[in-house]
Amino acid sequence: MSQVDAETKALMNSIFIEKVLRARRRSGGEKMLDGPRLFEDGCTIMRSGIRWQHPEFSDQQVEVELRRRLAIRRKIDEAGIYQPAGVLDE
Amino acid sequence: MNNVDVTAAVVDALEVCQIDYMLVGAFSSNFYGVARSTHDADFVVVVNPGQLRELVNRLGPDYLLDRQILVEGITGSLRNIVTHTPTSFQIELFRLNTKDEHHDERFRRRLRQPVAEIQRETWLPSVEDVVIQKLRWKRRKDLDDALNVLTVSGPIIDWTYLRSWTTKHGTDLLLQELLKEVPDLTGLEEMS
Repeated sequence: MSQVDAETKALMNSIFIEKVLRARRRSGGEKMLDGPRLFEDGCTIMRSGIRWQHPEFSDQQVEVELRRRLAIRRKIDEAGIYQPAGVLDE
Repeated sequence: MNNVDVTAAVVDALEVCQIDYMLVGAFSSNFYGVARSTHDADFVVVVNPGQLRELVNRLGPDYLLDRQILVEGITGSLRNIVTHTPTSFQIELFRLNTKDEHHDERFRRRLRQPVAEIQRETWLPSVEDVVIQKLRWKRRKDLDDALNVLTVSGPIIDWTYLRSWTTKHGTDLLLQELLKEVPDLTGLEEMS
């Protein structure tokens, strides 16, 4: 982890504490369902970024590029964890 | 249909197909900790031959079962992915591996939790088992999740149970390091 100065560290700590206190005030179910909702919000932002980078892209091309980027992220997340173990034959 | 609806539909289908399950991964760490984004919903399931196909058939034509099976290297659990094609949201189905002591114990201790936001109850691992599993995976995001759960849900954790498994798994030192990062919240809750 990179070195951070004391002032930045104090700011990070106070942000973390605020997040934790907010989390304690909310129900588990509400927080649980924030996961997929935040993902949808993230995809909306990524689509905007792709459109900005590639103004010539159609909506369909934007979706293809979004899926490609998400697949890269999944590959990074899962690197070294999974091995092929056959095919479902049911 | 959004990703929350997809997850709720899978919970309903599992219940109708009478497949024993629990919702794990980021959904469970969000429940006990601080919410973060997730691109999939992970379930541990106990399935008999033919039941995965039955599940996907019940979900309908928008759901695609990838027949490729992957083995997860930490617990030895087998995984199949089901994709909701209109949204690309993925459902990861991990078979319960009874040969892994903690995988088995975690499933036995699962809890039925109400989720008012979707008017359903669902099975989740206990708070201790979420931390134990995150410490085994130990990727950066897993350790962040573990720290969040330890900090938010610390007062309800059964520390004896938690430490019995971190000792067995050799993750006790990692737990100690994370606990050093848990801030003292004394008096802050009344003020917030």
